[in-house]
Amino acid sequence: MPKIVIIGAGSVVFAQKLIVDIMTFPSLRNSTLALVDIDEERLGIIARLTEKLKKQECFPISIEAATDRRKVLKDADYVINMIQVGGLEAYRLDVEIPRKYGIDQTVGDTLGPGGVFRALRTVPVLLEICRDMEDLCPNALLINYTNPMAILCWAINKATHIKSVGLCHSVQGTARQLAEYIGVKVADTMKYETEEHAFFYKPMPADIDYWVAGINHQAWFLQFRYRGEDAYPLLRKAMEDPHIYSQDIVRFEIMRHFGYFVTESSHHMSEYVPYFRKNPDLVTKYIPRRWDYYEICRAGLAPYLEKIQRQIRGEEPIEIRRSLEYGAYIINAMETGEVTRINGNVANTGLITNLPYGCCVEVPCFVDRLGIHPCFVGDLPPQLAAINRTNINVQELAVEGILQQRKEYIYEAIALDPLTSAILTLDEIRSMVDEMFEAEREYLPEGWKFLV
Amino acid sequence: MKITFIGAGSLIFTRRLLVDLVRLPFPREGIEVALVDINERRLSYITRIAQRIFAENGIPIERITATTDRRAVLEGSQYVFISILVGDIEAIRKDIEIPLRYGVDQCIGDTIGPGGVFRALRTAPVILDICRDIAELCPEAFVFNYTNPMSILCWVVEEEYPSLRFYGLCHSVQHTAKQIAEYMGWPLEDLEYWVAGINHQAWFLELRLRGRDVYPLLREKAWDPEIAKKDTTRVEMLKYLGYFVTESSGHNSEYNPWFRKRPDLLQRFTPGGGWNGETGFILKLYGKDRESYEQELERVASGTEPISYEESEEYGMKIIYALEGGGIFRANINLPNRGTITNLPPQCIVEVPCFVEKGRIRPAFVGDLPLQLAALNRMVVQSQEMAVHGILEKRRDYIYYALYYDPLTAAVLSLDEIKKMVDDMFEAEREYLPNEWYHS
Repeated sequence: MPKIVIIGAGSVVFAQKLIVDIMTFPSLRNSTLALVDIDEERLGIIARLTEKLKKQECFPISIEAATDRRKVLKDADYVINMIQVGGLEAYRLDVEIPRKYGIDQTVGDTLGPGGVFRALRTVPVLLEICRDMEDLCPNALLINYTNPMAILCWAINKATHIKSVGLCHSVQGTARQLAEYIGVKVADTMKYETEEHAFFYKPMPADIDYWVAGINHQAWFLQFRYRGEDAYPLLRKAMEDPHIYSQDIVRFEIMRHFGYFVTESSHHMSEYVPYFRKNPDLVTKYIPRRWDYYEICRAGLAPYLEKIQRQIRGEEPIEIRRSLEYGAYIINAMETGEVTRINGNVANTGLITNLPYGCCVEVPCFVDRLGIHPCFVGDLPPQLAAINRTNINVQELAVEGILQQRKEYIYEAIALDPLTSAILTLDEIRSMVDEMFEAEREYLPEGWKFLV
Repeated sequence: MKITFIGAGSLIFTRRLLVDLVRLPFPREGIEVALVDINERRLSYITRIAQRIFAENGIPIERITATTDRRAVLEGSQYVFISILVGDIEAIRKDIEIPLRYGVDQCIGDTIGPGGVFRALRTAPVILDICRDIAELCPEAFVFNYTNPMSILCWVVEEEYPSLRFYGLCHSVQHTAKQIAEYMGWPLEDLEYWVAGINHQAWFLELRLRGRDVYPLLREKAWDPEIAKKDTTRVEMLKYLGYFVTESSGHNSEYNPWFRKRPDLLQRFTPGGGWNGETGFILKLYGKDRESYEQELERVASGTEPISYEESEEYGMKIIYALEGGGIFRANINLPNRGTITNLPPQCIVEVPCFVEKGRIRPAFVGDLPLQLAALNRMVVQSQEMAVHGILEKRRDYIYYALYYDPLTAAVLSLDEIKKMVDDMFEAEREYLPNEWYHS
């Protein structure tokens, strides 16, 4: 009976998804689920929802809830992290200040000024969580879902002794999208309320096979096969269809010019390279439909929360359906030995030979009772490694800047960001970063305030 | 699904794999088996046994082909097993007895040292011939080699036929896990292990019982005289190097300089003889009473004795089942070290955990071995490397070098003595070796 601690469980929509995923595995139904959030109200919601789920399905789970993680971390086997530090207000600053300078981020949580400042806020909190784990459950596996993924995982690997893996859904999500582009469909009678819902729950065709490696949000489909045959020719043909092309312009352009399809959406991908967002005309051309994640978050959780309240009151059933997230698969594999293959974010200990040693890479990993076993990938095609390295430059300076509290590295991280550097001069970048430091003062740890 | 067995007359081995084949839930209608052996008598026994196994499991016996000519059946094979023996017991006797006269005392002598190197000299040319036919007739087939010397043969094939899907399989990892479980009184199914290194010298790096690290318990057990008596040299290495190694204690004792270099040490480290290190034990293994063995085969083939349908320890059929899409299976497999073990040379053959999934074998990343373990592996690997290049380039000097650097031989003999021993062996084994060795 594993003990699974979910930190940041007040991210109720995501937490619900993972909890239901865990419960879809019969082997995990006698787990102890310990829910942690510093927001008592949100914690109450997810705790009541989990209780309701337990009752609805008669699962023998034990449920604990705490605002103080130290109360539940003792003897945990798995710690799932999904915290957001600074909330919507800090996120607004990450997006709006750079926009004044002409840096138009669509998500801004991974790289660039937004990603780096999110890391400045998040790394210290995450390292405190790791310190508590070293104290109370040193052998537990930390499963991180929080962004900026690569910077956070790199910091954990560098500064702590905790075993960790960073998870995202962009690999398996993209694989399914690619299957759709080449016309491979699965019989599916399910109705999806939203596009997002469909993304997470549509079934994966069985005869699609892929081998993906790189860095988080910029991993490459090194192999993409349908029924054992290379499916890239089909994908290149699909790109000729304007209807398909228009759904994913940035990524098709990347494939056209660099030869491979990349994970993460066209919106997100456009932030990591210099080519698509450096002026409004380009944005209109390449990303005709705007999708600004901050705006989406601001529009609010209200409809989701209402649904959850109805579920808690029993007016609407909690649907038991497994999503494409890897988290529950990993726990099941480690508990039962049913081997599964995932893409995980781990330290590059020689896995991708033409990316820097020690950086965070997203590579195929097998999971069994002994844990996560990353695969050796070797050299990426040189043009792909080159793009990854432009992002890794930013990540490395951010990690070192944060761990050493060295402000110069933070300026330099953002000065080397491919999008920012395509738009601003060095002194403009410095002004922008200064303005962000000033505005986000209250969300940053003491040390940074002193440096400011 | 066509599976070809080359050297099918390795009766016990082929029978075990055929039993595994019918035990696994393969779709019955797709199964096709080709049995190949140059020894007709052996081939006829295994064919009758195979027919019996098929008949007892509802598979038409017409799906079995038997031939002495491999080229007649390789085409269309998706899977090929190779388990051959080149040369007879007299060749093996020379492998053991000539070095023994020089004081190099081998127990099995089929994978390393003078015996291993000369077995490689006899076997590699035949393996390369088989690979040439595979490359021509079924280049996409997965080839599983069970023939020794494992590492040298796999390495030779990697150099000559790098595009073949050629993998080396052994049962020493599984077998050692079973022994550890027995020594410790642990249920095998609750024991999880992570093993990596080279064939016959792979290391149990992790040992967990229901998730708990139980290596400290095994290390304590090393001091139990009961265990030390039956598994002497492995326990000795566990005490001093900290890790348990695959392969029996007797075989293991040939892979390092510590246990067989003086009569007093031999006496001390091979109590009980047999697999625990008896001098020339391989001759006993191969020299079994032929007549009673044939009688037993006849009883099994004719059906007067029941066939045991117990699952074997061999990975072979389980790997094929996973390759066919039956779920992911983990096995220790011998293959070229492409970044897998970071402190062993990049081109050597390593035995590492691999995950087998539909249509693919994916080695796991192992990283650095503990320093003292990598060091011993490298001693063995460098000898293998020189043997490999000696074989490929037909250079006798490389064969001398291979044995100058063999850990046991080097601990016993001087350089000129080693050279003389190798010359004696070349002379004595002339009839088993290709002519090119004798031109210069």
